[in-house]
Amino acid sequence: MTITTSGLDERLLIGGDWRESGGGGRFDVTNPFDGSVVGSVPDAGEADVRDAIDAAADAFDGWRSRAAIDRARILRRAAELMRERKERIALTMTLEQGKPLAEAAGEVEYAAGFLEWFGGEAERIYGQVVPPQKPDKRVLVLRQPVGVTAAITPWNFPAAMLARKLGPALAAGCTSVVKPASATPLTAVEVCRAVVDAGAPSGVVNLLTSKDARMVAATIMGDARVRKVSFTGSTEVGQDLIRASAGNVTRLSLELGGHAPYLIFDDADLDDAVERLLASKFRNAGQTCVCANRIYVQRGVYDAVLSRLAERVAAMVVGDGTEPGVEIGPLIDDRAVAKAKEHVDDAVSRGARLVVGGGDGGRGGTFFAPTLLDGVTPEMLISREETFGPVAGLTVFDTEDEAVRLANDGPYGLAAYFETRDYARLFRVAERLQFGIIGANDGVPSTPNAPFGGVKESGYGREGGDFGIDEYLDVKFFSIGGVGG
Amino acid sequence: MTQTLDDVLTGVTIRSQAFLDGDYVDAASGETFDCISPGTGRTIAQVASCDAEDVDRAVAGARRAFESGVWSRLAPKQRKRILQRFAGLIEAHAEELALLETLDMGKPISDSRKVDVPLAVEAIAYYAEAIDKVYDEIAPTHPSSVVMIVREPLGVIAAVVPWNFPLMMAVWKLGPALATGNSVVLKPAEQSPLTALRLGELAAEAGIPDGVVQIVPGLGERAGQALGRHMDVDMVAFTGSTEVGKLFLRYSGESNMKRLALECGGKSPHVIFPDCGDLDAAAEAVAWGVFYNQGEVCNAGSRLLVHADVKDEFLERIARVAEGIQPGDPLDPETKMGAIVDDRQLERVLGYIETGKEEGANLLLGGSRALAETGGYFVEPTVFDAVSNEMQIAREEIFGPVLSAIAFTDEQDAIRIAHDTVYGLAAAVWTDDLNRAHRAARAIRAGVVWVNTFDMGDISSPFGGFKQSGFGRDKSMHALDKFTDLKAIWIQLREER
Repeated sequence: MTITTSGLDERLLIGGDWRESGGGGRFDVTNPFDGSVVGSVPDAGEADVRDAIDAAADAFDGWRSRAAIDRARILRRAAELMRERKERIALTMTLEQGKPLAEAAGEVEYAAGFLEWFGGEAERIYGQVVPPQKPDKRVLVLRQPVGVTAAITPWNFPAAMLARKLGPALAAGCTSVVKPASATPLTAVEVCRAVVDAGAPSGVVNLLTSKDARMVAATIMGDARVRKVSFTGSTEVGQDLIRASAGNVTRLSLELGGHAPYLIFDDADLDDAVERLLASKFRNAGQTCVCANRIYVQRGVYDAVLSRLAERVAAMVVGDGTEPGVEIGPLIDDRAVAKAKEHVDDAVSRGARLVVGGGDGGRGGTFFAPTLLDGVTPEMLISREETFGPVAGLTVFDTEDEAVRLANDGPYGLAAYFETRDYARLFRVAERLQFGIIGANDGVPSTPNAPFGGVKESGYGREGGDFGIDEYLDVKFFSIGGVGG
Repeated sequence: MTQTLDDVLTGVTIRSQAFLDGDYVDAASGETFDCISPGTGRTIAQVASCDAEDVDRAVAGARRAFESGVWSRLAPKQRKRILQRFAGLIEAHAEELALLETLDMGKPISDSRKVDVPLAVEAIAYYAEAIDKVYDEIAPTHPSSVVMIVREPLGVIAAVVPWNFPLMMAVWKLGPALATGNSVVLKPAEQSPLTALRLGELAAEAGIPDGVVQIVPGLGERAGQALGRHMDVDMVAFTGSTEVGKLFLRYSGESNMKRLALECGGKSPHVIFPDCGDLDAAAEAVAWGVFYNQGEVCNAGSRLLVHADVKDEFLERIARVAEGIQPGDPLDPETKMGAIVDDRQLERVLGYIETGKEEGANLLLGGSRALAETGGYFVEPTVFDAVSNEMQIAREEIFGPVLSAIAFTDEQDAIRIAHDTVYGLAAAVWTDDLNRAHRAARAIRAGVVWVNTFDMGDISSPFGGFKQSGFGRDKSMHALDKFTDLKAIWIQLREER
């Protein structure tokens, strides 16, 4: 396959115009596989951010007043367009992000699913009629779009994280200002283009690419017309946004760090458990917020799990994401590599045994070989912080109670997984785990029609399902008096 | 200490007349029927035998009350308070109602005290609480209109209830029907009218206006049929046999197309897979699942489907449990199994036992009438082995303490036999295999499927059947739906001038 790494030069989208930034600056987007330039985008400044908010505010009344079925049609058409353009969008994603092409294509499909599902949800935004306590009153509850919204999205799922925010926002009747991660702006351009080509009116979606994330966030949070900001990214940035939200009492949805535990009990189906663990751990080279990062295995099956994993991890195909058959691409940047290395070195220095991997596998660049550690203990860095890389460390446990305590020990509460065939344990453990998402005998639980999001320092708010659209709706209590006869 | 029948009769208030528009009255014809206590065979009351004329009067009163709005248009908060008081009054008369129930239909007094009456209180209290927790909707139409989707009570509901759980079945209908603002004409079974009749004055004392709760005791073919064919009854909520359920369908078609909720018969499979980790607990559940309430339970686990490898051992365990469930005086607090409701039902149960023997099933346990010297209608706990699912005892609802054991060879075979019935009320599976539990639970067509337990329920969990076990659900918030219908109120908005 010949891959062209030029021509992906894109623009800002503001009020229906694809245009350069006011200051005229641009920045390059590079391929993490070899550092080559994939394309470039404008570097938006503060004035561009204000223009985008102006455009979104101007478009709001028109968009909210459209019949729900019109908004639904546009979102469903956008989903179709994404599917028609799947190959091109997937290739763009792999080039700027590094994940294997098959995973990228899967993500495009998954992202389109959010636009489609929320398109339908536009037609299901029911209000309520409340039984009044006084016979001469009628009490109604209306659910209405919050207004201008902003979506700030990360680099690990450049299409899905954006679709998850745009879908419900547009379905609810909100307009949106979108700011993708500076490492992966090109995929976001494609998602916005699909929405525009599907017929979204000018100003309903506005796209800002910028090197200065801090400035963009500050400008958005400082503008009282923005009523809602949805952010996916690190807990540290999430905390900054919470502080900034105080100024205009801006509503937030925050999907933050994960550091997920994966528990394998003695009674698990080991063949299936290992495959599901691998899918959870190594998808996107371990760079997902719901990746298993702490693996607790019950003593009776510990050795069996370790040996199966060693065999499978050693056989994983590492390389250029655009090559067929590659399972693990490069990490996003040098910092990501340094962090994976730090976690491995720390574990080994404290007594863990390196079973497979542990370095760049001789490839250099931003590659990190799929790695397996034996004998990980709770005080090691990898047990305390999100690695966000392809490193699996195994910790042994004896009892269910101990496993649940280990899993719950820490500030994060996004996703947790466990493997068991005992149905009583299935419910017991699921109910005790302090996480927003539980995968029981399921390593990949995400779906557009279920609520995705965390508890504790993993954030608040939900994306997907009927909870997902509530994030973009205000509730209005409407009391009518003097109706008695 | 066990009270004798005569002790009890002096200590309770027996109401034997119809309850119409706030008063106890005789049937217009003056006719009565005998109310017989099944523990002794003695007649304890002469109860008004209502017919079409009384039903007309009851329905007219219920309709008047409904149209006047004294109940149907009361603020939800007020209806709630009154129903809460009603629940409180049932609780305050718990002992008396328990005695009446046992006297009238023969179930053990400890069951009436611990199960029937407390659950009846809970059901009324639950629906009282639910009244102002149900929200109607606003449809997401074009912004130029506002469309309110509101629930409206149906009007006059006929509640026709059976004799096996007389009080509980009555309140399962009364609770949600009254909560939603309907008027109710309650027809208790002729075998067991006493607790329902006593409810009338408790309802009035709680503040439910006259006419909103009407009670018409009578024979099924007279009072029941009159309700089923009445042109001004909006709905019949019925619990009873499939045979009578079908009659109500016909009556509806031949009268005013009134809607129906039917909770009918069952022949529930109780499936024991060989990987069940606790066969003792399973045996306990199987025995109680078919002997509880003398087997007079619509969801009784009357078909035991047990894997051939564990069958013999499992039946031995059941026999050991059954030793502790022998019939006895219903008024004795130690009694675990009481009397069959009447002589006709006794003959029916004994007839099925004879049929089972003739069909070639192997009578493993029981099989005879017991305690005949008391004059009461008692049957021993009975177990048939080597039953095939084609036999009559495996296909028809016996409504007595008779278990039919059928062997199966693998999961598919078990599911096939479980399905091979016209009924679909309840089922249970026992297994420690998570996959099998989920597979089987979804595969079996029944209104409730228990996994590793039997006969568990909660007022928050719906009850009712698939197939010829009927349609509509009692209990839970879903029960409210069947007593209401939706109205869309379309409001068009003018452009701003």
